[in-house]
Amino acid sequence: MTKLLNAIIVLIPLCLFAWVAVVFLDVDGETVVTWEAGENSPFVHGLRPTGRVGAVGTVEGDAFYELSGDPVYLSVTPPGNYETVDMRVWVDAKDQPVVELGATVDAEAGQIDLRPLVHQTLDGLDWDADRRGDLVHYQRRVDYANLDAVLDDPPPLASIATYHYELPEDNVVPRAWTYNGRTDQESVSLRGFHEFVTATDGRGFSIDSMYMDMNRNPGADPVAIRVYQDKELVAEVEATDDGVEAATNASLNRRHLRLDVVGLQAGLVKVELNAGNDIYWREVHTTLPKMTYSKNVFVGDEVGYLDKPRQVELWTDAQHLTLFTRHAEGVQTVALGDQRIDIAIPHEHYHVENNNVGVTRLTIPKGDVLVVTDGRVAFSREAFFNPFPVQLDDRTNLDKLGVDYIIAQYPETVVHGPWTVGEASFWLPPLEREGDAAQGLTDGSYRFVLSLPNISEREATISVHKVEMTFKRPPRSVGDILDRIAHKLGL
Amino acid sequence: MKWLTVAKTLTYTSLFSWVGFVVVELILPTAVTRLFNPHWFLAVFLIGAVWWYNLLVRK
Repeated sequence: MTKLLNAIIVLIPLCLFAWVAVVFLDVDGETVVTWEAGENSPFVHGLRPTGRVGAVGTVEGDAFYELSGDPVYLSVTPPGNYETVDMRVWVDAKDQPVVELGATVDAEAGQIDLRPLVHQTLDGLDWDADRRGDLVHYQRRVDYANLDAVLDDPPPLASIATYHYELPEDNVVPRAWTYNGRTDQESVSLRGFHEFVTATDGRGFSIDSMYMDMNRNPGADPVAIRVYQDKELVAEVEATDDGVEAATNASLNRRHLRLDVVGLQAGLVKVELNAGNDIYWREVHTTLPKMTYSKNVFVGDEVGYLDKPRQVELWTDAQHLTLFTRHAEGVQTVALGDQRIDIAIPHEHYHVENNNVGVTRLTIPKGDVLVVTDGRVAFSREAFFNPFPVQLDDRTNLDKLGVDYIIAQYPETVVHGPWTVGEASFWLPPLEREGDAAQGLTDGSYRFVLSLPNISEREATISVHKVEMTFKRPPRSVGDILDRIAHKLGL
Repeated sequence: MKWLTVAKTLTYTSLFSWVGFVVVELILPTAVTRLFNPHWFLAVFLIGAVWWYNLLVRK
């Protein structure tokens, strides 16, 4: 009897050790980690910051956290070395149209790999839908048999909206985008980093710029112009600081930077004006007729360049704009088409929805305004073009814009009781792991991000009930395990 | 008398198991705690130690 008891007492921990070993070695290469609101987990360290996360609530017996701000972070310690993670998140998005899930690639640079999770506009569409895996094509009327037919003979770009999907680039460029013209941008001073696109029929072109280093902040201000085609760098020119690193509030001189770009194919070209906020681009000239900026432009002040502020006019197809000035001198009334926006207080963000569809003129009487848009921007009507489809976001009004086709990279969601289950997959090796890199501590947790665009502005909340993560890597054989042990022991 | 060896086995086994699981957890974080709390073995050790002591005192 006592022998049996002794054997049982010894066997229990031995079995537990064996269980720990089997689970840790994870021979089949797949581990599922589940976390529910209110639970403590060795892998999932809750939602942060706490100011955006409410207390635990319950609905139909399911615990949930209510989120009211953007972004909300979820730190996850992986249960070993894995290559991918498939995440499923149980959410009730309520009045929040879009919920996205991201993974931090570089926290310092703000680089987040964002994936769709729940898009209520897409989920609520009663259009014809054609799904192939995660790729889905919607059309208001059945004009095309399938997505291939759309790509073979596309409708006008303005009638297509895309979501996490890029249309294949077309090498046939309309003649109007490249023919007989140049762009001379002399009536605005742009502050800091900017990015624009232009189009070429294959011939080279030149960029001439005149800029001033206003030395308003301490530190060096190097400048570069970089040109990309098909995401490849094709030309660049750099200039060093003007030699004044102190915050003197004065510019030594007007400096010029020229770049001749050759060896291009017909198609779009992206140009980056790389500079910090001390650099003011006073003039930009190109030998191509089209030039539209991406989303944001920082219209600078003219202090130290002109005697008095000047009026700036720009053209945009944006539906939503945010205007902001840093200076008392920037207080003014801005005109967007026939709408008037009073920028009455410096540092206050003024959100505007454009009443018009299409290209609208924005007049800024005194300049000195940061303009954030969801469209494209040019500084002359002639230079404006938009070679991209509508980007579907949380505020896109499909009917107003006349969108008839949507192409989205959007995994299908599933409804479980009060919850919509969205899923997203991430390739783990490029993701950043928390820890002090300076001390070599980078094997900490991954930082995932729940992105809830404009949730505060619309005073919405979402509920999160559960997160399920399936970590995967290739299965291990007994030989693999022995090899790894031998490797660890240095044999 | 016959329970003395059981108490002794329980005390030693639970102590060494606790030490073993804690060491494994320190080397491979979450390897043990994802499955169970190793500190239960510490509790069992204390129970075993008290039991063993009582048996010795009675002897």
